[in-house]
Amino acid sequence: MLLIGNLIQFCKRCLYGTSHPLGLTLDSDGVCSGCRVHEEKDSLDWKYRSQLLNSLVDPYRSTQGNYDCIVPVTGAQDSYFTVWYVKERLGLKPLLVNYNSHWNSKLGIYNLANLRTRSDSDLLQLTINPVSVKRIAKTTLRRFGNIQWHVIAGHTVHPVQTALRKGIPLIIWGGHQGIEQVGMFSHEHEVEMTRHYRKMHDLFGYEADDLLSVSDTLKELDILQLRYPTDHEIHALGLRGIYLGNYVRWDPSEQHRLMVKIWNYRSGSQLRTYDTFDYVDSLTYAFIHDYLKLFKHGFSKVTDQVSREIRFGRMSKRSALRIVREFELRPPQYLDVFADWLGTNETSLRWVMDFHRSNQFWEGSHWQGWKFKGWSTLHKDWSINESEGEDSDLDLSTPGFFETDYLQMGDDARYWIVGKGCD
Amino acid sequence: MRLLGVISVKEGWAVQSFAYRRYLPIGDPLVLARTLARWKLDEILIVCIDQSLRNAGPDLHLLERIANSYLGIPVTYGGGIRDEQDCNDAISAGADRVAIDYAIRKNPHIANEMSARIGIQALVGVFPLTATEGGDPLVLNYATRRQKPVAEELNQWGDGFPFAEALVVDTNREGSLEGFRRGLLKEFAARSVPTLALGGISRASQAKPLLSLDNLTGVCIENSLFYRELGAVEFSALIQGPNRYSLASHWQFDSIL
Repeated sequence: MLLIGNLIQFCKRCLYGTSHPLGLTLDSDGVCSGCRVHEEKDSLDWKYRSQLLNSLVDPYRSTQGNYDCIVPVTGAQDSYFTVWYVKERLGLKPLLVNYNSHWNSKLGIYNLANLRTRSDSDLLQLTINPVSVKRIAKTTLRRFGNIQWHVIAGHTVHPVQTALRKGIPLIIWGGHQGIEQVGMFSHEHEVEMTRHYRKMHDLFGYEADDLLSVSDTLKELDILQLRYPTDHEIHALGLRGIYLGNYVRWDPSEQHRLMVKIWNYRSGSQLRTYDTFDYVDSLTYAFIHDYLKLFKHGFSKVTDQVSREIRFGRMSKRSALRIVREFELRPPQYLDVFADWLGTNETSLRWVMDFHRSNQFWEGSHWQGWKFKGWSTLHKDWSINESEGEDSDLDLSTPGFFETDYLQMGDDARYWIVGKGCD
Repeated sequence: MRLLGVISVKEGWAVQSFAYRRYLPIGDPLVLARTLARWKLDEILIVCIDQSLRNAGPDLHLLERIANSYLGIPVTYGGGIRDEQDCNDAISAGADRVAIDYAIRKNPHIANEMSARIGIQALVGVFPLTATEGGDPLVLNYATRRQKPVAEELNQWGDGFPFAEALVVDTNREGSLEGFRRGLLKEFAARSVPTLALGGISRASQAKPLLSLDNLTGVCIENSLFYRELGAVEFSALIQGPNRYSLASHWQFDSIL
């Protein structure tokens, strides 16, 4: 939408371009909204903001023996730090809530079980009928080129449904994706969870009922548990969902390292990125899902991750671009596992995936092969080939990102719906 | 008294605008419009803030997308309106009313020609205001950055104010959380001009002092509507009364189960 004459403009500081699907603006200095809002991390009085947070949550402390709040968890991303902060810093008693993605790695199962044990918290998990999950995944893959829709929908609705069912009016989330990536809001706006944001950005403009169509096999019963509660119900409970990232200086890499140290969070390497902490719970997110992102938007998760590191001053833009070029075109692992789970084969899956390659970022065809012309090829600062020699002395190391385990922890590649967790 | 939700649009994206100088992306204007319709606001004000400076005319594609969504809520459109034909095109594309800013700064009398063509009821005049150090309001021409006293601006039309309403924008506080400066409305009140207030109104407590003004016909809420779940509820309760607003309850779980 933001493209004028198909021209993507890039931020002068990070690797983001104006065709970012969440939206991105550049100011008159050519610096993007994400970088500008990130500057607040070094200018805001975080001690004051943590006091604000304390006074915000105080009225929600239960005197009736109920839980004080709900914390949605996946076992990866910001789950550990959020639960740790809620327990250790805020002194709240949370109910952990998890939506089972069906595509868990064994490491993800371990991390989730370990989180429950370490935090000494109750965990409520929603596991939807796998037949319905397959129908939804087929529909969203075909229509949006996205298989994670149900995971995001479940992760964002199950906490709300649970809050209403149990009468717990506070949900505490970790970071806000729109703030962290593209600077959609200032931290001082103190934005909260909204159905509106969930629909527009998390779910690509489609809520559960919007998926239903007379020409599809997807039925109302398949999406029933992913329906967002009514405005009336939310208002009646006075339900709020706040983001810790508005009150605590949010630095996911540092937070992960802290969690490895004190709560034994386990990390694992993933072929399409250097980041060993993010999304290790899933055998789809950093794999087929990330590959589809590259097809549709011309960049992948590694661009998000290096842009974050550039903003924190831990990586140069030049090194970041080289790292992106190193990782983004690597083929994803576990395509065969996903195809098998879906009841198809890898060739058919690739054929469907190819329909979602954007003409803007790809040239070619399924039969002739594809040429990539995505974001990393468009940066005018450094072309891919001409400065290879010059770039050879670049520091491409990514210190601080280490693996403690393999995602499958020694087992064959397969999805774990349930597992033993801790030994 | 009406409650208007404002969607600022820049280069096709809905943005949070801060004093029309800094912008943060929010997303697709159509999805925002649908949310405002779900909240049953009285009206949506869509302002395409870069259309005039690019001399691009009204964003008819956006208007058509919104019209095709059958939102059931009146839409006032501003941005890029240059002449009678642009007014006509915007209304044909789905706008119920058009708001005019840049064109009347260039030629105040074009408003008379526009109202003769589409009717005064469909025209809203936009008045971006700043204030002197003494608090006297000034109209800002954002293209030339020149300013002039409000009285001088309004005198251009004599007794025949050619708009259904004046949209008074507190330019310095636009997009902020600081509240609208009531003093900006005094000249409009003195002339009994029906007025909409826009800029800085982020909480119902900031809107409340404005409601007692006789000539105020509506308050416009910008970015802050999207900061919280049910962001419009406190405004609806204030303006429509606690018993008049209703919240959507269209998922009937019980009946399905």
